[in-house]
Amino acid sequence: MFRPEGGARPAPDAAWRPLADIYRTDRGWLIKFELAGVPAEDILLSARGRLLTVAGIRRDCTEDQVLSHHLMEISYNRFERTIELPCDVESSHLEMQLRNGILIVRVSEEGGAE
Amino acid sequence: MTAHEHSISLPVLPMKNTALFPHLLMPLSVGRPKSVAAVEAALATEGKELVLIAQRDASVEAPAQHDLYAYGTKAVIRKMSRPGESHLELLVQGVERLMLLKFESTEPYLIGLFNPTPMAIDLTPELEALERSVLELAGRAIELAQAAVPVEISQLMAGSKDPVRLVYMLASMFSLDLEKEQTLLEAQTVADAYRLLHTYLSHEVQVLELRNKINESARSEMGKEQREYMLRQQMRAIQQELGEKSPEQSEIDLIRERLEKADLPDDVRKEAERELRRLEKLPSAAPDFHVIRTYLEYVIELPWRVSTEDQLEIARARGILDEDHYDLKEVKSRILEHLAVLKMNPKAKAPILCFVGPPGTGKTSLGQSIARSVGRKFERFSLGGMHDEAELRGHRRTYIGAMPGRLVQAVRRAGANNPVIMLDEVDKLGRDYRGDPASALLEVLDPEQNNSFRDNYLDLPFDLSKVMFITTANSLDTVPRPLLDRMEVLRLPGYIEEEKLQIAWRYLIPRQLKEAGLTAEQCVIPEDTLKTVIRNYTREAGLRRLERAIGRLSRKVALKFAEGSTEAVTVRPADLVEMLGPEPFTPEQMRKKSPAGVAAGLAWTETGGDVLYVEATLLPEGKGLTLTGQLGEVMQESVKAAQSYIWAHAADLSVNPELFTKSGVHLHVPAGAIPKDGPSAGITMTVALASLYTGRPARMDTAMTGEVTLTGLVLPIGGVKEKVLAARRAGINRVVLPKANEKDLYDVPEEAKNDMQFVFVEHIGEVLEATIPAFAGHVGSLAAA
Repeated sequence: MFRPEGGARPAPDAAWRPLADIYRTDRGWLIKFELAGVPAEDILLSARGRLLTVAGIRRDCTEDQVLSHHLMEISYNRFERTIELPCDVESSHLEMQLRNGILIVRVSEEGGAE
Repeated sequence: MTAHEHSISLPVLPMKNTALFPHLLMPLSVGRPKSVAAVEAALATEGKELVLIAQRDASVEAPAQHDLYAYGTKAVIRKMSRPGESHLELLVQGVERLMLLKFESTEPYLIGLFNPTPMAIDLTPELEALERSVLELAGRAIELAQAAVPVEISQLMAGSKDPVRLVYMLASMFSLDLEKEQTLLEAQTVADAYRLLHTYLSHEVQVLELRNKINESARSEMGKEQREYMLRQQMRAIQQELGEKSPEQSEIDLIRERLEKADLPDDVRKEAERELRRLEKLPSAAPDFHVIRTYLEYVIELPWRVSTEDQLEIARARGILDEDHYDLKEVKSRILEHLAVLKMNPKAKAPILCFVGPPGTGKTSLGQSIARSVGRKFERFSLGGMHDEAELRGHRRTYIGAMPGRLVQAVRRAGANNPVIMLDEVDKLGRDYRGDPASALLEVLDPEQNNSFRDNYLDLPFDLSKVMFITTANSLDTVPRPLLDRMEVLRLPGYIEEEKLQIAWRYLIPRQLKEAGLTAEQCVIPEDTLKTVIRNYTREAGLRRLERAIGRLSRKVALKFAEGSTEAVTVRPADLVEMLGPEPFTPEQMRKKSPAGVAAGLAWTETGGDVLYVEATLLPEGKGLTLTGQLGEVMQESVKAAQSYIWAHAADLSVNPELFTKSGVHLHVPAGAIPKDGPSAGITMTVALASLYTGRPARMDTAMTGEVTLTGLVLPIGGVKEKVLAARRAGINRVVLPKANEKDLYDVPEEAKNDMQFVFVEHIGEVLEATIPAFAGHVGSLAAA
């Protein structure tokens, strides 16, 4: 009845999800996204209500002439990740920094953390 | 659709047996060189995109455009590995639906030009309704399939806001075949997709429900048996605890008790006790349990040593026999003789009698009456059509549903080991590959062997020697010789008119009147009426039709009384046509006058005798002898012998010898439709031909019977009594008989003998003198010739 192992599985969206870490900080929230190989201009950060979404595209590129592929574990093409935070992200102050392939987003709540 | 600015060009990966929906992840295994090339081309791009399109026919190895469906799905390769040199494992994720416009290239791999064709989303209340009902169906299907659904799926299902994603997700959960998947992929609007999915899922649910029902019923069957077994075990335990006996044990105890009380011969008791011990060891569910129990019951019930006491008072027995049957002196005296022997020697073996006679002559009722007169039980069964030896001798106990044979059953029913057993229709025994019951009867009917008759079922010797066997048959021709040898044959020849009259008055009329609820005064059937019924309505040796005719008459009379009449009714011969219909038989009557060439013969039939006229006539030309009237071979030969005799003695009879050479003869014996045979018409043929050739008529008041030889000797014949009575019935009072048959007149009733004249002859010359008046006195000399 159900597809055996290896059948089509629904993905959250038609894009891959970068891994994320979330920290509580004294000023609000710090979120890290693992986005190695993605230049800053290919990343789009957006906020709507309590939702913070990072989307974009990772393009594959190699300096050398490729003869054939033998393994591919890194996901390419469109990515998207939405994180819900317990505060209104839309009205918060957002700060974005791309360092060593990690995207760091700082969400500063108004009035800081209680 | 044509290419426009949104058209894209991508490598194509044809898929076998499956389609990929957008939003879904699917592992793929790629082996075809062209497909590997397409994948490698996609991997070389920044986006890792290609298009997956299902093949219409999985067996095509190098598909062209028409081998692929028009709609495919753009996918991104998420992961890839190469376990072998020319073989790739992929994990792809569907992105969006595309429509193939054309192939831009086919070498080294397929490149297609596509237009994106996303499904139209019409957010209407109908869509929501569809969505809900599909979700419900899917839930039902999951429940029915009793499969553990990964939590993420149910969560995704519940949390999904996107109807397009939902419909694809649901579709992927059930193993739809490619055609259905592809149809769903090609749906124009989301609502269409939901409708399709709804159809598929309802079908799935139906199939699943059916499957579960089948499983359920199989399970419950099993459960019932197990439950019963458990309960039985518990019951047994409880009974043991309470010190009670199980039903089987009490059943066995009952049989033991009966066995102890039963009067059994030692060897039978030993065998029965052995079986009982076997029975105790068996569980009641074993099939043998019931077989042995039935067997033991049978053994116990059989009258091994029970006999009824014979009533040996001769006078009483004679009274009973006379009361039940008229005449039959020979049979009755045989029975009384046997009683006398039993009185003198109680250990005498019972005789084995065989009653032979036409139907309706009282064979069966005589058997009953014998049993009554001797004071024994009476049992009868018919052997007619029996063709299986096992019916008589029983089946071995190893067969399912085995039973003892008919003989042992009859003895058990009688409840005594010395009943009168009547075996009816012994002449109609059959035989086939299952054995010959006649051979089994040989043992049964042999007094030397039947004291230890072994029934296959009992497998114990049973003494049948005290049983009085009576068999009946309509004719002895078909009874096997060895069987006939063992029996004492008593003939019940059929009744003559006088006897029938007596029987009708004594037994039939009272019985039928009683049946119709009439008294003897209310309905009178006088002698002349009865005679007409006997002669013209019933031509038979027995009495069945006569009894039926009398029954009919009494019912007609009863109807008159029931309708209000009070006057006693006397049935006149003239009333018979109205009451019984037209006469079915007209017996031959004496012909008053007759031309030359006719003589009256006498014939014996099963229903008594009959007058037979032989008619002969000369033909103007030709030579031979024409014979008609269904004459048998023997009768035809006796006509030829008669003709030869007359030809040889033409001079003595003053016959013109030219007649024999110049003109043919036609001889006919009416009634034409009834077959006739036998030599006894020999002298009649001779007289008819002599009369024909001499032109001198024979006497019409004389009938004759006798076989004739070529030298003119008259030989004796059978059935004298019936023939004489037939002549008398026809109004012929003078009968010519062979000298050797004179003694047979003993059988003819006195009243018939008194008003008839008999001429006994030894030679044909005497016959001619006695029958053709013109010869009287001067052909007697032929005898000396």
